[in-house]
Amino acid sequence: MLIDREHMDRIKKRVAEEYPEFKDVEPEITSKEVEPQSGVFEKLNLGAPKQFRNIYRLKFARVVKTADESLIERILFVTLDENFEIIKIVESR
Amino acid sequence: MRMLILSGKNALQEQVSDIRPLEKTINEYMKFRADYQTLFCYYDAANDYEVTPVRKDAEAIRAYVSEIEENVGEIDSLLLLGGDDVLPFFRLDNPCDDGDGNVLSDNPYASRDNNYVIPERICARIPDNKSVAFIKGLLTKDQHSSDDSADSFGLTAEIWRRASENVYSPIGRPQDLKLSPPVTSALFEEEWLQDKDYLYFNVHGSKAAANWYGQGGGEYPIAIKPDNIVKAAGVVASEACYGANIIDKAENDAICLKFLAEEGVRGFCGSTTIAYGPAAPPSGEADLLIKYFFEYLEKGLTTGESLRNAKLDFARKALRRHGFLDDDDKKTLLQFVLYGDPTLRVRQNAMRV
Repeated sequence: MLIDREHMDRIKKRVAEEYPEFKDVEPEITSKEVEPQSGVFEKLNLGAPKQFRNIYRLKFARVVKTADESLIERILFVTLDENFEIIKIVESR
Repeated sequence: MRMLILSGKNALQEQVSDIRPLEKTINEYMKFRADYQTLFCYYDAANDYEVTPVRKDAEAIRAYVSEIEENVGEIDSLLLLGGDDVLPFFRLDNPCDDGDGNVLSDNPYASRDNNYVIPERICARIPDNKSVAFIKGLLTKDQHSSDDSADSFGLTAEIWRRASENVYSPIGRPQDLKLSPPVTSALFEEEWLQDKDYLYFNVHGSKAAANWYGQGGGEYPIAIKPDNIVKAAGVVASEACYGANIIDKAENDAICLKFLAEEGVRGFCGSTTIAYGPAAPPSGEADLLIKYFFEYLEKGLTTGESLRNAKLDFARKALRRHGFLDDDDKKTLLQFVLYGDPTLRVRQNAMRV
């Protein structure tokens, strides 16, 4: 299990409160090591951080039907840092 | 400023048949835009810049642009003339785990190195829509800009009201935003889109459907459909998923093409694929990019400069917030494209950048 029960329950509770359409959706969880993006930093004339970062991504997805019967996949991504703290939540437009 | 107008002769001919009237319009455009050193060529035909023609392939065309740049000097602005069948979008690996196999992007054309997420050049595209008149219309837009206060229209899915108010604030009063629901295409008033400087949309879009959708109370009503667009005016920015998707589309099933066919519409900024944003401030992803785009337009920059600068600011902000660009940040930077003449402005007073 990538994320412990306590953190997962907290994340699910927040998602259910703020994004009720994803309330009963079970997320897919992935972890990722983010390499220092030195090329991007250089191109923007910013000092590049050297450390690697570990992040976790929770993907909540469901398909909804619009008023004209079109199907849209609704996706919600929750990004967590190394300590399972939420960095951001975004959803598909 | 040096601008290259680039197209593919054979492919363009296949799309619109007779390209001679178009070439006449391009020559007139080049004379009219005396403030730019404007070059025009086809990537697949002999040219004045001593570059060997290439086949219709995104990588080959990008290399062709680099060679022209080596021979004539730095190209600040690139205008791609034609849709995907003439100048292919790059099909980039999708950083996000979603339904898009690839991200259709013009960013590599705007970038001199392989860090495609960060563009150096201004890059815009005029889709052909299989019509010479359509392309000519986009090359002969009214250059008028003003210093009057912005007259804007904004439409958002009801659930994203707070997020959209933040994006809309540089160009209008947040309380004037229309919400869907209750707004639906059946209740949509054509006048809302007329005589405006800016048109803003934060709604749902779909790859297959022609319409954009609202969301609220568990419903997804049609917020706007192509038929709602009559005599629209302004620069359009849309966060809708697939809002800028033109693959196998025409005016009747792509709102972006319908907008671009309108005489008063000066450009369209949108996403080729599934786009993302938060439900509430602070702005992120598509919200943040479009907010910056509006801010630069209000400062008097051109549409092309505004999108390029918005992408740079977006990347800087993401790096400051988290120390890295995550998957949705990268996708946002790659997927947003500008359609129309990149030299047009909304405001007269250009900010020195």
